Formats: sequence, structure tokens, C-alpha cells
Amino acid sequence: MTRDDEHLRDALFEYVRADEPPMRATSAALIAEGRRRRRGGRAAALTGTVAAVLAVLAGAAVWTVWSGPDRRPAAATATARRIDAALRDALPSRGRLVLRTLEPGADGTPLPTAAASSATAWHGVWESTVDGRVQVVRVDVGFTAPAAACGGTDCQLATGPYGTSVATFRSDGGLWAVHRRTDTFGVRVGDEAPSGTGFRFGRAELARAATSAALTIPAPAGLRVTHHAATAPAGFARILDDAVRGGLPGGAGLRTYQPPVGLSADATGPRPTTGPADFWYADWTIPGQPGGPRITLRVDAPGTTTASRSAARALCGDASCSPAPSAHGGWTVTYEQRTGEAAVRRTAVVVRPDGSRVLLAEEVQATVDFPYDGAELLATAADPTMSYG
Amino acid sequence: MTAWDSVAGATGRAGDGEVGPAVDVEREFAEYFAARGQSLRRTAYALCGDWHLAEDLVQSTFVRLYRNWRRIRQPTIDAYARRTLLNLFLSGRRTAAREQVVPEVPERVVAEAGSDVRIDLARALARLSPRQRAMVVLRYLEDLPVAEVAELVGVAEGTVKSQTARGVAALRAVLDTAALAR
Repeated sequence: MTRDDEHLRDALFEYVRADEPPMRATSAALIAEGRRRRRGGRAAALTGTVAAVLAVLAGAAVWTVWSGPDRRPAAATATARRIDAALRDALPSRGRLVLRTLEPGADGTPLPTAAASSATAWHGVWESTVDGRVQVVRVDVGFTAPAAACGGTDCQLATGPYGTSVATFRSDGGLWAVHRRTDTFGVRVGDEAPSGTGFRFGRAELARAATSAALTIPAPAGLRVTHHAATAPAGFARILDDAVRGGLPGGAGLRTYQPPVGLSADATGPRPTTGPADFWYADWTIPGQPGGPRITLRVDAPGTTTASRSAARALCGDASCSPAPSAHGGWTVTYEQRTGEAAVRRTAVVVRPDGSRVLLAEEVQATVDFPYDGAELLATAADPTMSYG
Repeated sequence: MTAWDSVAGATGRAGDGEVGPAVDVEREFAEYFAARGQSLRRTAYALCGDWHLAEDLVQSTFVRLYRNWRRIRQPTIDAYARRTLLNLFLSGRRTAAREQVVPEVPERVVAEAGSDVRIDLARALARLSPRQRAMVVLRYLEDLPVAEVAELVGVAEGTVKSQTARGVAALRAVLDTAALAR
């Protein structure tokens, strides 16, 4: 599948996932209607089916009311149902997943379901059996302390929604994908294979699940996802596009994949906003250039970080880098990372004194050279127009 | 050890939870609905562009699926569900075409700022013929190979390729236009 295809696919995914209302139907109502239809023959039309299903749903609702309140907290069961459904939807259908445990927790301690509204994390275990082999899928969703991108060996970085980073690695006999959606909120999905067998899901599949916007939990009272949103100047999308095209050699010929867009970072992942944005993101390619180059830009709002050597160094992760002070009290740094099996990314970062930062990166197959050198990237990233003002 | 690890270690033991002793038809059906219901509804929405109709299509699909559950072999459930959904959509479109009195698909209210691309995409999808739209959705949203799309829609593989290419070109034009308009 080409990048164009992926772009179209992403757009279709976003189209069908945005503003999605909750499902009205339940399996119990559908089964009841299926039984009725089985008994009653096959003459009913589509509208009759729908009306009957709705009637069953209404009846079920009335029955629930008559039967007294559900002893389980609605929020807790709703969260559990949402996580379970989101995981099943996000992972390829490869043997039936059977839910084993899905429980709330806080501060490293499991919580009773009745206290789920104060949970800061949920932890789930599913099993699937194919050819007699039991495979375990684990999910951890919630608020965590900031941590290194990779928590194991054989770490690879992949690109998630709007340029966010997804780390995949091996740890404790499992293959994991971790999507850190904010500094304090993350989702990780793991596949544990029986010894001597392969993993059922690949890195890309686990990463897709970890980045699923539906795979999230509500924030408990008094705890919220940290935001550093700020209002960008009018026409910021055009300003960013012009700065990149004007700064990079031959930049006028860049082809846009994702036009500059303001994003709000929350527990579902980044989502487009026209209001104050935590960061802006855009990406382009170079038509005709070998190696499928992808140029990505991320501009973080003021207050996102501190203008310090250690903060600049932390961006490099495991890569070697040497932050340098810039003329106006900020810091600059460039570094290279492996992304995926056969791709590499070079990133130039400018950290400004107000805690905003610009990350301009080029990603390309490892078999070809980077289209730009580090100095060209850094000079473009330092363009003063790429600022919230 | 991270906060995740400590909690997962305490709560995430496989086999601690409820395990049903018997796997019967209803449980299998319920599990399949939990696993695929939402995804099928998204496909239905991509086909018809209306959440209410999408829900109706999916409910009808699952009712038919339940009635035939015992006869469907496990590996073909997805294909059966897709085919049922597609048939309901296309037959419904034929019915709707006979009853249609408005010249265009009504525009939906823009409920959320920043959704221009989605609105444009919805309009571009609505301009495709139902079969062409189905081919694009199955090929790109469901990620099905050309041969499977051809079998589901009941046309030759070459037709899928040509129709999909035209449909995709129309959608890409919308996306490219939207790209620099922001």
C-alpha cells in the first residue's frame, strides 16, 4: 500500500470514527429478535426488523428499570465495555479473544469495581486459543509517570497519529506497543506467546491497537490530562507550510500529506482543534525521491518543556546527541533514530526560552541517504515565524 | 518497575476472571457481536453516510447472522457478515432510489469545528455510485484484496480496479484540495 493509499485510508478511518454515537443494539436484543424471526418466518422487511429490535431494546430498558438498579456502577461497566470493544475492534480477528480480567486500579493497587470512578488505570487480560495454543493479550490504559519510550529490548519506534511516537519492544516474554498520548497518559498493548511459539500479533498490529482513540478511560475527578494549549496566530497553517517550503532546499516541490493542523492532546490521543492547540503537526513527501521520504513538522506550544540542556537531551532518547545553546537562550539538537525495521529518522529540534519547541524530521528507508543534512533541517526549524507568537 | 507494571502484576493474572464452562451458540454470537459490531457499523456508515441507517443495517445484518449461525463455518463469518451488510445496503439503495424525491443528499450540520475535511469526504463519497462506494470502502477501509471485493460485489476484478481507481481519484482530489485550504 502506497503512502497515498495510507493517507486515504487514514482519512476514511477518521471519517467513520469521528462523532460516532454509542451503539444502540445489544447482543441480547439481537438474539431475542433472531429467535423471534426464526420462529416467525422470513417475511419481515428491513424496517420491521429494526422496529422489532428497537421494541426489544425498549422492553429491555423497561425491564431493567422494573428490576431495580444495577448493582454494578454504570461508569465502571461502561469503561470496561468500551475497553473490551475497542481492543476487539483494533486487533485483527485472529481467533476469538476471551476476556479473562479487566479491572480498575490506582497507585499500583487494584480497586473494587464499586470504586472504579476513582481509577487512574485499567488493566485487562484476554486469551485466544488457536490450534490448542493459548495466547495472552494484555492492555494497560491510564495515567502513569513519565517514562522512557522503550521499556525493554529490541525497541523500535513507529509513527502514530499526527506524528506521535509509538514504541514497540520485547519485555518479560511479551511483545509490547506503547503509545504515550501525553506526558502523563499512556496505553500499552502486549502479546504474550507460549514458549517456543511466535507472537500472534505483529508490531504494527499492536501499535495500531495502542493508538486506538477508543482505547481510553475517563479521567477521575481531580485528575486531568496535562495541557499546554495556546492560541496560534491567524493563518498559522499557511505560515508553517510556507516556512518549511521556503526553508528546505527545493521545498516548493513538497507534496502535502497532512496539512498543518492544530491538535489537542488528551487521553484519546491528539485530535484536531481550531481553538488553542497543544501542538501543530504537518507532513509532506518529496515526489520522485527514492526511499519514500517523509518530512514531518511538530510545533509545541509555549510551556511544553523547559529550555534546558537536559530537556533537549531527553528528546534524543537512546540516540546519541549533543544539545547546543542557541543565540537567544534556547537550545538546539539533532539526532537520528531507527524507525521500524528498515527506516531511519533524523530530527532537528529547536527549544525556545518560552518552553515551545519545533521538531522538524525527515524519515526515509535506511537503504538511501537522507534528502537533507542536519544543518538544513535545523536552519528551517529555527525559522522565527514558526512560533505561537 | 513502573506504576503500570506493579498494578498489572497485581491484577492482570490470566485465568483469574470469570470463565464460562460451555461455549454455546449465543455466547459465540455475543462474542462475535462484541468483537465486530462496532467495526461493521463503521463500514455501514462509510457505505451510507448516516449513523441511524448504519445502525439499522448492522442490526439487520446481525439478526440474519444469528438465524444462520449454526450453518456458517467459523472462518467465513466475517465474509458472510460483510456480504449480508452489502446486500442490505445495495438493496436498500435500490429501494431508496425509487422513493427518492430530493435531488441531493441533504447536507449534515457541521457539529464540530475542524471537520471540513470530513464533510468534503462525505460529499465526495455521496457522489460515488453505491457500488463504486462499496468497492472503495471494502478496499480501503476494510483493507480487502481486489479478488475478495470482486466476489462480494459480484463483478470482475478488472471492474473493481477501474471503478476503485476512479472513486479514489475523486476522494484524493477532495483531500488534496482540503490540504492547503486550512
